[in-house]
Amino acid sequence: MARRPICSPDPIRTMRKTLLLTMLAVLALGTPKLANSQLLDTKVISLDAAKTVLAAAEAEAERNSWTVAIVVVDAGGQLIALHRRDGTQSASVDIAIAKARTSAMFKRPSEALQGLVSGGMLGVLNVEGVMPIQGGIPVIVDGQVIGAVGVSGVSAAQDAQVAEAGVAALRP
Amino acid sequence: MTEVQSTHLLTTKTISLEGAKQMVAAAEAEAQRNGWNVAIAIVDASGDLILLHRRDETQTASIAVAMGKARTAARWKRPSKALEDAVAGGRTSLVAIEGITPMEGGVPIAVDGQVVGAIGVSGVLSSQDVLVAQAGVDALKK
Repeated sequence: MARRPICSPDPIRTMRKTLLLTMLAVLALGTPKLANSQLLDTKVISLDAAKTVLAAAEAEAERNSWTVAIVVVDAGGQLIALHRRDGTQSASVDIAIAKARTSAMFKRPSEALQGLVSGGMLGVLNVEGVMPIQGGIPVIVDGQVIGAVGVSGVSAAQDAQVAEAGVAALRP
Repeated sequence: MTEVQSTHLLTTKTISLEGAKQMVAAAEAEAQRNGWNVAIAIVDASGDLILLHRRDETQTASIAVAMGKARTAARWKRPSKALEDAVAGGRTSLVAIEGITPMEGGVPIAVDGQVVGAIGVSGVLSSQDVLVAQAGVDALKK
């Protein structure tokens, strides 16, 4: 007669059962409750708000016949919306995104970094993804960055003019 | 400006920002109808971004994926699902190609047999992403 095996007759089925029971136990215990002191309230710009920014910025670009790419990013520098006007050089897509991200990262217009670099602080160029060129503007509410606008396609000062028009559309 | 003999030139078309806006409005309506949080990207014939909209609450990973799907559809002149199927069918070497996103959800925009751009969507199941993309393409049909 065959001896009883030491391990279970169906190890895979046993493993699945154990895993399922463990998962159910974890779910039953619930996700941890965090104290208020461990959390921060943050705000982020909505897609609708981004569309308002884009419409105003595009109108400004249209008024001046400027071919530009206009970008809105969230507080983390992640894209919310982008529009590239017809005829705009494709390079301006990445540059506009980088200007917006730079403004969000540094909580200041990308123009400020342009000044730092031209003033000799070359270390700024070592920050990954930085674009220290005028044309990016952060959107700050109650001291908190909720997003940023970036424009590229014409001269840096003109890019900034388009970005400003976009941000102005958010004012109540 | 360079002077070029006309016989050296091909006439091509590319989707305009206005066309892209019409497409994304229809795509967003489809996403809204289903309660899907997605990122929608529209690229030109070369695969460069013309427009991107990310619906609220959409995971940030979907930004790059939507762009990749659109770029893939434009550059391969076929739905990105074709590349996903090819990889799944054993053509694994495709993933070595720089910039390829072999996942369903990217659809080319063709006019008179010419690819003028593409739309890519990411955020829910690929089979759902492509429905949003198709809604965008359908908005252009006369």
